[in-house]
Amino acid sequence: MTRYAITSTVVGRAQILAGAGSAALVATVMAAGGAAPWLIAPAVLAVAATTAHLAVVRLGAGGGRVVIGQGIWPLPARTIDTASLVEASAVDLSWPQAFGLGVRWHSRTTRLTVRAGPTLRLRTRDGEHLSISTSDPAAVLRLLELPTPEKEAS
Amino acid sequence: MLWTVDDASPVPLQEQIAASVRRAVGDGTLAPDERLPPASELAAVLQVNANTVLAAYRRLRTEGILEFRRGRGVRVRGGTVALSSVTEAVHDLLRLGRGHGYTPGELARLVTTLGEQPS
Repeated sequence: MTRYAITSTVVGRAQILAGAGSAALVATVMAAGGAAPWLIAPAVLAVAATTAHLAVVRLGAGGGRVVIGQGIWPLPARTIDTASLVEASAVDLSWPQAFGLGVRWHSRTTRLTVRAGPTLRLRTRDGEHLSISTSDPAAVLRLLELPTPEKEAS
Repeated sequence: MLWTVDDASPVPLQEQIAASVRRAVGDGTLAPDERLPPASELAAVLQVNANTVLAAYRRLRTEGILEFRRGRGVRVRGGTVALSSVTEAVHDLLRLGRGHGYTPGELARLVTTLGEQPS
C-alpha cells in the first residue's frame, strides 16, 4: 500500500522583520535607561526567540491526521484526527485577514497565519475554527479527502 | 512537499523517504536552506517510526544534501545543486540514444519495457 503525506513550513518574513525591529527597540530603550548589558542581552534574546516561534508555522497531513506546529524548534505539535473534522477549505487570505481583521469571529478560533495568501481552514466537531498558513492547501484537501463546503452542498 | 512510501516496495522505508527528499531537491521543490519537518511530525503523517525518518535524514546528511543545525532543525544544505542526477542521466541517455538512431519516444518505450521486467 502506497502512503502519501504533505508537509509545509511557512515563514512570516514580515514578522521576522518586525521582531528584529522590536529587539532593536528593546535594546535601545533599555540601554538609554541605563540597563546593564547582562540585562539587555537576555531581553533581546527573549524577543528574538518569541518572534522565531510566532513567525513559523508547520503543517503535516497524512495517515488520517493533520499535525500543526509553531516555531523553529521541534516542540510537541498538535495532532488532529481527520475524523474529528467536519469541514475544510482552501482560502486565499488578504493581509488584514491573515492578522484577524475582517474575519468572522468565532468563540473558538485558532489562527496560525503568518502571512497573506494560501491558507487551510478547518472546522472541528466541537466547534473550533482553525486557519493555518500552508503552501498548498488544496493539495492537503485532496490528500485527506476532507469534506469541503462545495462537497457538502452537492 | 509530497512524501511517498510504499509498503509493498522492496526498497527500505528509510531509503524511500530519502528518495523523496532527493527528488524534491532535484526538481526544485525544496530550495537550499529550506527547513524539513521534525522527524516526529513526519513520522506521524507517514505512519512510520520516527527512527526511520531520522535514519533517512542522517543518510542524506552523509550525502551532503542535508545539514543539521542545533536549534534550527534540519535544512537543505546551501549550495545544493538543483539539477538532479536523474535528470543528468536522462540527458546522457538521450544523447546516446540519438547517436544510435533512437527517437525520444522509442527510448521512453524501452525504459518502460525494461522497467517492468523483474530485476
